[in-house]
Amino acid sequence: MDSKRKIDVGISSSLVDLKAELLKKHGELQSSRNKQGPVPSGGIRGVPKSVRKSVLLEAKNPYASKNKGIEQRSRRDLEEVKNEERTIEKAKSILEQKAKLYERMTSEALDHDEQEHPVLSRALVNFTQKAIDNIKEANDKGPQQPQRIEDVVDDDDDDEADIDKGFVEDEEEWTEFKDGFGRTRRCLKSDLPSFMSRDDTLSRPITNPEMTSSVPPLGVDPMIEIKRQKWEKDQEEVTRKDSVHYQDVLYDEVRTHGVGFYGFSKDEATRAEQLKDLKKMSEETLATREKVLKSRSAKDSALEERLKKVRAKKRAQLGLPPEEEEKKEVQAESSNIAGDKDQEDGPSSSKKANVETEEVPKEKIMRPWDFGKPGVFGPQPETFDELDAKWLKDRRADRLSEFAPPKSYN
Amino acid sequence: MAAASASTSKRRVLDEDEDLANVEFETSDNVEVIKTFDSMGLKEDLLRGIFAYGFDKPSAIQQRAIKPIVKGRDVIAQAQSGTGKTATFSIGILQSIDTTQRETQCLVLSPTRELAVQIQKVILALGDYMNIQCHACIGGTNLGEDIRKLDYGQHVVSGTPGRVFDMIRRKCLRTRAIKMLVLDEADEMLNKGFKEQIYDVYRYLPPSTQVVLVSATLPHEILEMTSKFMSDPIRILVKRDELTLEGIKQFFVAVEREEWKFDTLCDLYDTLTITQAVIFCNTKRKVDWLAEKMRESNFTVSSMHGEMPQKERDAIMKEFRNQATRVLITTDVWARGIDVQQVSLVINYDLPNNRELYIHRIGRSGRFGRKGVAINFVKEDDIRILRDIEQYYSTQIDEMPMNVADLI
Repeated sequence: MDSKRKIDVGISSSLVDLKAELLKKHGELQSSRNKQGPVPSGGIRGVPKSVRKSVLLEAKNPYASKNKGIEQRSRRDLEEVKNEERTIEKAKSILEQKAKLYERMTSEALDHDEQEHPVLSRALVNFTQKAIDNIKEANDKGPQQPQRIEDVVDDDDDDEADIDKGFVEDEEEWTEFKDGFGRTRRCLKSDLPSFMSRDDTLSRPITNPEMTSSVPPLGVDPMIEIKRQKWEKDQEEVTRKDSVHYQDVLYDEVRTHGVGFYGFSKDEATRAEQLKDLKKMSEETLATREKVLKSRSAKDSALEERLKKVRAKKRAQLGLPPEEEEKKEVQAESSNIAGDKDQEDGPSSSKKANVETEEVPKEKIMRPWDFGKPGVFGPQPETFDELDAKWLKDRRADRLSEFAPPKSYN
Repeated sequence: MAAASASTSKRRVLDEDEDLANVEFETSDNVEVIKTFDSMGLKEDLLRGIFAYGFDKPSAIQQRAIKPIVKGRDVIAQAQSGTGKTATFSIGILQSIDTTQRETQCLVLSPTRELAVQIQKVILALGDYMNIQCHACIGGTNLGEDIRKLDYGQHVVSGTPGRVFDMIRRKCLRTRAIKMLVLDEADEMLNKGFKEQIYDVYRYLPPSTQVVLVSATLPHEILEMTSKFMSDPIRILVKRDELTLEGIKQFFVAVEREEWKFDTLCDLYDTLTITQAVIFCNTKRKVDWLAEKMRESNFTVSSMHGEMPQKERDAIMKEFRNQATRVLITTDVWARGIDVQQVSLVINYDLPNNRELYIHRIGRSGRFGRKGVAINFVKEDDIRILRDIEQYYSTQIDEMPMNVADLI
């Protein structure tokens, strides 16, 4: 379609040239006729073949009778014009065919694999791209189509002017406005608000929020910037929370903790749950430890019992009386073990007692800085002027005399 | 003699005229040494927290100071940097607190906001199984947030004196249930700049509140003034020739001109980034200048000082603790107490202004038994100062060897 139009334009522009040439010649002819009377026969020769018949006839009429050869020539000229028109017609039809083929190819291009299609694979034109472009163009234009806009500044394009003429019919429906880039633009009154809003977004300086935040001030590592933002968010959370715990204020600090370290959840409820579980687990550990100890001591005592029986048996075989002392020893040992346990508990309990006994008699000794507080009587504390004066005096006493200001200053 | 002076301190307190300047303070005689956490008689949930945090055997100061704190005695605790002083008083606090009573029972004051936040973190970590409530009450933060948090009820408040006093005066921080005041970095807190603010806070506490002083450095004049607000304290002190740690190797690099320090630092950059490093300058302006110059030379560094907005300071601390940044250029705002385990190198781009600061600065490395290296940049006239420090602490500061990286 486009190509067809282009050719038309070509012809029409050459026609304009010829028209101009013809008028020029016509003027020349008239002026020379005014001077010399009849025009020499060669005068009309300069008329190009493509000039329309009517114009030729118009020019021919007054002088037709005067020159015999001219009619013949003009007939030849007319024939040539007809021939010309025929070739143009032919080219047009060929081009139309070609356009149709292109259109078909373009529409097919999207449905077929380019490499496998018999024509597409050999074609020098990238139909697929054309099809994609078409879709894009349609998408861009699609919603705009009902809203026609035109540049008032540059509208010397004939085509557009033609289209516009159709729309300008009702002049009152149109209005002008200045866009964000300072251009005067025209549009339908009904479309004005939508244009204004679109213009508003367009004319605003480009501020992509992601862009501005990811481009840090000079010399700052973007990674650090990301961390900073995260910590800021953490801190906001901490200020919002009522109970703040270690995890809340850790802020990804690199620190070696003990093996028993447990990173609690920042969520209060989960944290309470974790704390409960942890305590339950440690209680269980203690219980199992105790159980193991108990069963071990039971095993030991059973072994001891059996050994004793064996020994007693041997003694009986040898005819000796059954022994008494060892039993006592064992008893003493076991009581010793119990004693150890007591001792382990002992210090803390006795310490507690100590603390209590020490804390009870702790009398409140008032210090100089306490005097003057409600209910505390005594000499008022030294003022700071006095303290400072003393401090200054002391420092001056420390000073080597050779570094002191001259005596006359005092 | 010293023991005698300690035991008669009650009388001494009353006797204002007695001159303390000539008294030599020593560790109290009756200090019990408890070798394990288990035998300290601590709450079970607290013990869990202690072991989970990574302590398994108490350090020297922990063996000695926890018990008296728990007993309610006034305590002056001195120990080398990075040996667990914060954990010492934190454990003492957590053992003394009644969690069923949601009121402020302990107040911890520290000289910098970062330190106050760090102490809050330690208390929350050790008390994780006790559901302890601990709030960091520091300047440069939202006042309304502070008020809301305090209103909710906090067992422990860790803060800087200015904001804490503000909160007390506004009656947002109720003091009637407070039974313990802890001054971390006590010598700094009782120094000229802070003393008045501490006094202001103290005046609002119930009379005869238990007081605990903690620091790596406790100069004589500070010990002298403790009688004003402490009664019969237990003292656990360290002699100054034992104050530097074996694990921290100290070196110096002699430079002829100030400009050469920068080149030296650039040469050392690869060593700095082996783990993490802190570079100390004496002024905020110099910190800015040095950081800028390093960045211009395409070295990645971060910088921090007290003039930055709190939000920025916070972010830089988090980055450094996260190891997102490895080299930090800073002022003495970072000199005391800040604990980042991976810091193994400290550089004194400028020598500190006093002997105490030297101990605190180099103590940013070699945390809790880890190795550390301190490098001092000295111009010719600075060497004398360095020799003085060396002599004062009976320590050794050698010229930096070529293989310094192997020591980190």
